[in-house]
Amino acid sequence: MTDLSKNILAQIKEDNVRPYSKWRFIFKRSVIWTLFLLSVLSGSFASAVTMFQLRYADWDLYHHLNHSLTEFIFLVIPFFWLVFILGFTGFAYYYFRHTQQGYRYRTFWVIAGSIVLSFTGGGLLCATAFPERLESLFQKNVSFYRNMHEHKMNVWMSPGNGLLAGEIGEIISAQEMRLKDLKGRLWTVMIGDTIWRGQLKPVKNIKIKLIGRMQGEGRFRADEIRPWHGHGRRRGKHDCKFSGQENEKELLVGEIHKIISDKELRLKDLQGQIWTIDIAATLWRGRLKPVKNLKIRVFGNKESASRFVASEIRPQHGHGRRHRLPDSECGNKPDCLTD
Amino acid sequence: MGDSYENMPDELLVRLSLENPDRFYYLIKRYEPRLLRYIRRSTDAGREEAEDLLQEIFIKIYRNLNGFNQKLKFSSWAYRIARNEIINQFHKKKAYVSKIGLNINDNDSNLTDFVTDAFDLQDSYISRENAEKVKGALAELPAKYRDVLVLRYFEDKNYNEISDILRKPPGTVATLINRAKSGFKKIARRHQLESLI
Repeated sequence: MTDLSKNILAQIKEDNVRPYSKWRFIFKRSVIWTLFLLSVLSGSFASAVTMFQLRYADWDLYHHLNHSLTEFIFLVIPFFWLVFILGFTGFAYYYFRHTQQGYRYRTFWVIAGSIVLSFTGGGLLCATAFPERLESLFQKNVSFYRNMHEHKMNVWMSPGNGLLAGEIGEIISAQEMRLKDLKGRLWTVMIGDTIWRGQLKPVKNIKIKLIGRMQGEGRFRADEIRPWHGHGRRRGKHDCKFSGQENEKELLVGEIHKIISDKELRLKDLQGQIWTIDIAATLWRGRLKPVKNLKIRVFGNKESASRFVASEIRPQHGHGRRHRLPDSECGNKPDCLTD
Repeated sequence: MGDSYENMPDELLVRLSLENPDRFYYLIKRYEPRLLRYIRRSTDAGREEAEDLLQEIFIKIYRNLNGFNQKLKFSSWAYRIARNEIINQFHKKKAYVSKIGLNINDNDSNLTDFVTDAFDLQDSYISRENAEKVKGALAELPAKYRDVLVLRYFEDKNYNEISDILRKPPGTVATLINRAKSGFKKIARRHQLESLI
């Protein structure tokens, strides 16, 4: 017995066998953990888009469509991204199993844990503009993905059923606008009593979905207008920046001096200069409304020395929640609010 | 000096072996009989073939000493390497997965313990003739079941150690052992072995 042990040791020495460097093992473990984390991260990306799509899947429109419930569910479930989630969960499971202690955990818990991690990451990403961007990126660059979405487009190209989609062409008045539908046909849309969903405003070139009634050839009364995707944070194809990106816009800070109409107001900036602000296509952030004496931040472009086109208006502080001052201070003024 | 090495814990000997290859001798000496027996119990290799395989296993253990996870028992880690090497060697010959004659001694007390436990007996006696039949029935089991039974009953490993050797969750090990016992009982009944014990 001892002879065999001695022989083995002698063989090790004779063959000049050396233990592998500890760095080799550290590197291998690091690669496995990195691949595991990458799989979870990729799963998070896919689940962020899945959550985004499910959230804005127009579940309430089932009654407008001539589809069975099963068909409708098949239409709105983002199978493309679910397959991605499954794939990345598989990778995460595989790599976790190859970590040093990964084999000790039951398959069910490893898979459940990976899915929970992916969806938690996806939930966090959902709060950002990322899923909307990733979706657009796929639509732009992946033809297979684009084809899948054509079906969705066809569902919305059903004016007889009260559904229409397209791009705003021109805002004629507060009552009417022109729309170019997804097939390029022109419509006059009545928007007098329309509910604009999300943070959407009537702005030229944005892609929208309309729910309402067809009122004859080329005429549609919109009861409700929704952004084509997500919250409607984008403002037209020529301005694809999200509202959080302020670096390319000019900023004006001051107090609303006078409300001229629903398209214009006067603003007194911090230096006391009076500006005429074009608010026809402005996104009012938070719970903000055009109210006299309100301190605001105006994002947009300077048109002349005293004229400014506002693309977005935000409260100077907080959410823009203000309260009416006591009558003793305001008298009969309707828009008398605290700072 | 040699005595102190012989009583030293495995983990310390691993560290010393990395500094001086001569210290690895004490680990080889400690595990040589156990691993040789394991090879013989898991395969139908002859003594010489088993010794060659054992040498390969120790070379592999030595090469991977820096990768030894201190959270494991050294014995579990060594058995894991041994098992992988056995599979590598015998997969090539297709002997590992197919029916093989296991090198288990007829008077191995573990064989009696195994049969007693498998059939839920209080006590049992296995004659030389029936011992052959028990080994035959064991050899008929699929490799994954044979593996866990050899580790549990012949190498006296607990569920956690088997889990570390096979790199499977302890719950899965328990399931495998139960299925292996049921499988063995079915084969034993087919050979009318139960009535003979």
